[in-house]
Amino acid sequence: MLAHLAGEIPRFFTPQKLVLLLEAMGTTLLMTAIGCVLGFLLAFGIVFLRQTTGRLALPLRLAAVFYVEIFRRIPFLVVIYLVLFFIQAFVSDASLFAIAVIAICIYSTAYTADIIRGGFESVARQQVEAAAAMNFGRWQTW
Amino acid sequence: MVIVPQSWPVILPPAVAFAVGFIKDTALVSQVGVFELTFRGKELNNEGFSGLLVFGTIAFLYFAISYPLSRWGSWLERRLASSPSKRPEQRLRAAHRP
Repeated sequence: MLAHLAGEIPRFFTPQKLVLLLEAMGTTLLMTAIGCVLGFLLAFGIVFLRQTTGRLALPLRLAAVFYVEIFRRIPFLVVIYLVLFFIQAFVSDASLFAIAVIAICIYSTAYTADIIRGGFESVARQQVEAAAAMNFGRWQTW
Repeated sequence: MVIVPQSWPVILPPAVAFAVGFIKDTALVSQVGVFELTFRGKELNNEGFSGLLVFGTIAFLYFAISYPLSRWGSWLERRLASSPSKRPEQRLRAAHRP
């Protein structure tokens, strides 16, 4: 078996195959990079919605909480299939790469939103109170 | 202006760790047929190459991507832990101690 494996190595490590593998590696990396960076930015939006105050913004707050709670409790594979079938219902020839990026984005937004919320809660309360005392607006306090 | 700069050292390390860990989770995307590393591996395996060889190489490539990035993440964590943005608060706490 080992001899068989050793015989395959020169056939496997040809330049074309290595280029294919490196391309695939680039795809993996690019998908993660785009998805996680977009997810990180969107997560700030989710946290912003979640921290709104007042009764008028209640639906926004609820939507943000539901989004995070739902997508943190669904396996990633299920999210991928949901996004795939949802998008294919509207656009029949959607690119699979875009579908993958959207799925990664949705999933990483939910997780990163919780990370960011935890980070915000670690800031001492007195800091927020001091900002309020100095008449800082919501954007300025952020 | 107030919250984000101070929470940055708390947010960034776990966010980077999540992204680096997610590189591995993207292997699941091969289920729908995106041409990424795991899918390529399945394809090469179907071409008749031994699974041990193919997926050994795939595993090595995943390691080669994640390891430098996670090292970068831990470097970032160490650097942020000693960043000046955290010091005033520590000094404040030290001053409060009886």
